Amino acid sequence: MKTVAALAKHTFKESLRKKTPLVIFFLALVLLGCMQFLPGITPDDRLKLVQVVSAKAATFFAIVVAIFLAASSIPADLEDKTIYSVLTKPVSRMAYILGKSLGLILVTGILLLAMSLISYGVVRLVALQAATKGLKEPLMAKMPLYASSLIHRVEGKDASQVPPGKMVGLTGPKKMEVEWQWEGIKVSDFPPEEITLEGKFLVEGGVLGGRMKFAAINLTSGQQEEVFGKPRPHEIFSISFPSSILSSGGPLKVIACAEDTGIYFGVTLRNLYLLKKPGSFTINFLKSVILIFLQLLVMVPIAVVGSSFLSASVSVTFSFFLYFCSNIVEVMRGLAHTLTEPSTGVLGITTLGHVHGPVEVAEQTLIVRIINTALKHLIYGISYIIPDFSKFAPANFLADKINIPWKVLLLLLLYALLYAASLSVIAFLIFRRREVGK
Amino acid sequence: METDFAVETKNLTKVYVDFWGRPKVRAIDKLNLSIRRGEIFGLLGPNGSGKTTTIKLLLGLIFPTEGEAVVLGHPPGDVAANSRMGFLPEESYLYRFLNAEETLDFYGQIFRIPRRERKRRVAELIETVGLSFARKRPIKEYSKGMSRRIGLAQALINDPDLILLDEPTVGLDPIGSREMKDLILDLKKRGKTILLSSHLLADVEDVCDRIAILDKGHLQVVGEVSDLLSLKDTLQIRVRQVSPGLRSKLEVLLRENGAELLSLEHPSRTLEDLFLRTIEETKSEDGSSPG
Repeated sequence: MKTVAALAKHTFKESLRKKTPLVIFFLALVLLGCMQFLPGITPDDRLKLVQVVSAKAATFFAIVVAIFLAASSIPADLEDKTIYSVLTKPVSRMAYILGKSLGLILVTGILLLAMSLISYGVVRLVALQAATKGLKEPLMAKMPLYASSLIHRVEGKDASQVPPGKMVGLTGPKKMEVEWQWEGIKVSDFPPEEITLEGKFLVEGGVLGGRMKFAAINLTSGQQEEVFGKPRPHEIFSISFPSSILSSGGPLKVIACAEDTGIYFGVTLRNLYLLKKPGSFTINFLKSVILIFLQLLVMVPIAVVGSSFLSASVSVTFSFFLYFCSNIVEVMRGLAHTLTEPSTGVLGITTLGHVHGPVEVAEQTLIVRIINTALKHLIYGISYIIPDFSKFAPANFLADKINIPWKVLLLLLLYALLYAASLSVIAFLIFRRREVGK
Repeated sequence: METDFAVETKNLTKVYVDFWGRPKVRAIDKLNLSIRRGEIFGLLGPNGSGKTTTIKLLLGLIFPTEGEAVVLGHPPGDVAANSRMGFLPEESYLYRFLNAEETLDFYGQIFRIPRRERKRRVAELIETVGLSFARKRPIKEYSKGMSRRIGLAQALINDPDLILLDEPTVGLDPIGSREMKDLILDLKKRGKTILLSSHLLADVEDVCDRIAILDKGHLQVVGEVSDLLSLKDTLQIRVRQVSPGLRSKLEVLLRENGAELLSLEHPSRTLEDLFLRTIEETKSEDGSSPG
């Protein structure tokens, strides 16, 4: 372990002397651009922009540095033959791989931390400006409480339980309704004045959205309140009830139905939620930095695996390609899905497995079918092997001011650790039999 | 199991293959070597004869196609073997961004030498190899001779039992070369086993106890230097204060007794001797030492 630490420290020093920390200035430039230019946007949008851009830019720069350093680490040692003087010392090849990986994770992690500190300062500054222009609570972390069940009803009967992740549709007027139910509500978690529900529905059939009626019922006290909301496409909407609706902790039921004809609302268990008292922005920001760090934790070993058998340039390319794929895992699965049903969805628009619009049924030759099937399995296979970085992307949480749950963070941490450990073993297995000198 | 031999190879063979796995070069062919503990063993041969390949096989940097090697009782590349070995590569491949102290400190850390002990040993080694004047300079600014010296220092950081030196005197001037050879002899006095490869025959002759000559991967000759070089049927007499009369008497005496006189002349000293003495004299005259 001491050997690994010595190697890690050395790798760290080496990267610093290569002047990699200079990328921080690029981030500073990008952020300066966001702050100073684009005068036309609202304070709220500017704040959103700065947060999203800083998170994405910090991720991008950290990943680029990680890939370049890690993908060229072993080839560089082989090239200038410094590896001779290391591997002829009591350094096992596993220790060598681990030392390299840990050192690079440390370097890029510290780089990320430095960039995040700058981002944090800038975000605070922009929030201060926004506050002077009258924006209330510019920085916070909303704490959503999700429903425990969702029931879908057509014409007042045929009630069915909607499983998590599944979307059900609502069209008006009043033919169908959905019913969310919350249990285990702790009243002290909620603001004393008003209870707010927020949501983001899939809205099709009109850009201005449509009216929906929401009825909240406290199942213990029997208190009932009704409000109207107007969800629009791609936007968060909110509705409020008097706080007495949560008296004695519920359970609370919210029944929603569409009022207008011709508008389609797609809802899921988790896209309407109760808002608890907001949490600290700083802690949420810290969590977002951890999420980005977890990407590094996975990406560095990926690039090290590449560098254990490829040349520097090939392994840089390979790592970038994998990183790109890891960011579009859903798109890849969607593509594979259309290949499973090659006769549908050619002209229509596919949303979450539903096909809207005209469908062309094309006859396929045997060869095309074989190729399609092979491609489908290949793309599916790859999409399950590579990490899904969309799960590690904090930008959406920050833009919507939503708290990143500790549980999610912990699960992703375990996932990243497991991933990094397996990759290191793979790198070792490849590198173990590698001849390091001709 | 510890044996009398520091290094043993059995039918050690290395065939380099191309990208498709087709054999390209047979660098070492069925090499059987035994190096005794405490001796200086020289590996000789022209360029491309397999000296460096043999050393890399013994270090576990590359793997044999056939046969095996045992180094200090362990397979090559084993952490336990490496912890008691030192290696000076053909060129000193060190981290160019570090200075001499940082370099030795880094390798010391790898050997888990405690901080205080490490500091002492680093200072001592820099002194031994004569780099005190450049200990804070980054290695990328070093001359070839200086790189050689720091390379040797890193090979000795763990006070190894077995030291592999690949072309130790290459790039050194005659003084450096002499110092290197003195150091090697000194290491032997301290009970170390040394394997060195070279194509500079004079160096090998000066320090080695036993040598092996390799050619195109084959072992051609192996044995004690004194045995291999002594001409058993010839006798050399070196005497001082011989008058011309005695000289002619000697010649007559030898001829009368049937001996074949090959030479009777003033021996010349080697160029190396002359060079070293000249430099030594100028040094004592201006009292300064060259870098």
